Amino acid sequence: MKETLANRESQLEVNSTLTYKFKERFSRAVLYVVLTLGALLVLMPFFWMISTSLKMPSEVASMPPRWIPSVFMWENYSEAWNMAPFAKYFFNSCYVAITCTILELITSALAAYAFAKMEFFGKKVIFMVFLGTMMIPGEVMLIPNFMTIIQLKWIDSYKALIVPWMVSVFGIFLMRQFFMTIPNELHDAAKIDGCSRFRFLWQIVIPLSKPVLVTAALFKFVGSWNSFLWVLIVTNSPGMRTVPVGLSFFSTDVGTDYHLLMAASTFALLPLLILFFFLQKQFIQGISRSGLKG
Amino acid sequence: MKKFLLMALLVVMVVSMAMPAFAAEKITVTFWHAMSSGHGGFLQKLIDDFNASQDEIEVVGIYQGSYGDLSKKLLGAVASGEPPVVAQMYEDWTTKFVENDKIEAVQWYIGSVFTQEEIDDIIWSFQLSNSWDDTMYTMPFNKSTNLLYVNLDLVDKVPTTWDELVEQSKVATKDVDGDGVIDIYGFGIRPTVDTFNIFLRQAGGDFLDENGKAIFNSQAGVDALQFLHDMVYKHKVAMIYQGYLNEPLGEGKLAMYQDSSAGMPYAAQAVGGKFAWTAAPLVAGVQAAAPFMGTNLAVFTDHSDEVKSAAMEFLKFMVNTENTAWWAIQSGYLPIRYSALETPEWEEFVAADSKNAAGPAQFDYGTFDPKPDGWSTIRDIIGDYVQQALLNEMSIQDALDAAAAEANKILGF
Repeated sequence: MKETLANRESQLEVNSTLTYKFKERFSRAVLYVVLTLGALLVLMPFFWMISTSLKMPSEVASMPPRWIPSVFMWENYSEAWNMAPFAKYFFNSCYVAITCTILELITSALAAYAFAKMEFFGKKVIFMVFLGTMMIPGEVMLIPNFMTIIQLKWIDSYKALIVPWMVSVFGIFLMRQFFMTIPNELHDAAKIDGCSRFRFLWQIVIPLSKPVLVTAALFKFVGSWNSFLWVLIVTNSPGMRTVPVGLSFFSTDVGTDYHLLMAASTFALLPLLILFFFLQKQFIQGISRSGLKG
Repeated sequence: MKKFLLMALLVVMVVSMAMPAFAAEKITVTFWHAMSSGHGGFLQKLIDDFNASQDEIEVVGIYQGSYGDLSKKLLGAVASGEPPVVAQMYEDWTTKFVENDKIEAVQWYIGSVFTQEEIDDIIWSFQLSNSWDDTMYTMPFNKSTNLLYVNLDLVDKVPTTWDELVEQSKVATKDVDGDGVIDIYGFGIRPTVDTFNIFLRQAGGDFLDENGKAIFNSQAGVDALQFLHDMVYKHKVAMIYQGYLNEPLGEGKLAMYQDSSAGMPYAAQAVGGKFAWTAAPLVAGVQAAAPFMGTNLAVFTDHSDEVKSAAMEFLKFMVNTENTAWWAIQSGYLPIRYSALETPEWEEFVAADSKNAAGPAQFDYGTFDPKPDGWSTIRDIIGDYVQQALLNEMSIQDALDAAAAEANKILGF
């Protein structure tokens, strides 16, 4: 009797493991199908961009759309490259994006630490005011900010491209949320050992916050790389402009040279793509922990 | 005496040494424009030619993005007292600046830079659209108009009136495979303010009265929209299409449409030699009327007299007979003076292709958008209501009344 009972139990166990395994496999299959479809959907515009960048102008708007060009026009790339001083634009874009990113990380980390771990008069109010500035659309501030830059005589300089962007409320907010999850006990322990606040931030908080730093940095870098209107407004000479201004050369009010624009977009995208490949892991960690996406 | 000679020699030497240095100090004229791609190249060629034609003035052309970007930047720069010397501008942006004495009038330089004949030679309707209170402030530069695009294989003749347009649309409209669904439409309508503009003017109407009050909800406005509405729903010979109409034309699914002359290269690209086509003057309703659009060149007041004179010299060069003809032939915009139409280059251009004559054929009945401050916003409002009327979401009269009421609120009535 005892034996049969044990037998039965093990039988049941086997059955349930089987159904469990089957269920798991099935749900995995569904998951992969959905993810593959999603990936294809996301990749389609990229594919269209690259395919269009190799088309002849007459093929660009043909209906039904051609996915593979009949002739591969590699010369579109050299033609697009020569439409504007892209080498200079790439240098400016890299210089401005890297500098802005580093400066923003420094200012954001300092401010976020103060908001997360220190007590001072009016902390909540100041933080709310900071957040409030995020609600003002950028377009509203564009002209006043431009006028400020004119008064400072910063027009057509790297200062105008970098200084206004070295602080970001979004960066402060992102880091503050992360810093708040770091236990205060760590600070107490460090303080007992004679550690200053700055050293605590630099040697303990920052190393613990790598994912959020990478996320903030990527957001900033991508934002800075893509910024167009501000660059156009505060600069005049071609030597001070960046890649997105170069991309605007291909459009007019009566039509767009899509084949050249897509060729230029492809080479404009490369630096971001390379950056993302290297920092993928941290970027995804940062998103899953902070609950934010681009 | 010896001493005097020596002194004189010294003075001559110093002056002669200083002279080239003075001559090298050129007057710089900054010129903000929105011409990218191919047009930007043609514009730069004109600027280079001007700089090479004399050695006192150096014009620096600066690309400032699209017209929208340029307008934002101008607004900020003028408010800060740091405008460029010359800029491309639409009339309604100019109004705001003229009211604040920010624009140097071309007319003030007749006698010093321009001759009266030179000004009289400019197409009359362009002179009018560049004038505020009877003073010509700006110089017309890149101007385009609307034309009638026709697939010649689908119609019996190119229509010239509203009635003929309906007639020929009926000829062209076909259900090729007999499934009860129309495959080829006679006429294409983009439900926009620009389409409404064409038919409003041809119906004898106008957007604003002489006091600047919106009156486009008048009988002429209703007639214009009713005509378009009938083409679609009563005669069933027209289609409403949101995209660029050169696409269905090129695919052979549309026989005719009216749109900007600047789109001609795109129509040619879409047709690609598949059938015979043309671009003709617009059809006439109660009257012949053709809207013209495009920007003008303006000189800002916040500069020294020397710089402003130099800028006017530049404007004079840009639109002289030879250059306006060259610019029009290269870019597809229209020449801005009568004498350009008689140059051998232009005559050759027109002889090569009759389509090139269609735009200038409309000079005598050209119309322009009104230019009050805020007109761009009003255009968007009218466009919204025109679309609602043509899509049967609102009655024609209600839509026009609502649009006029909103426009008048902005205009201060």
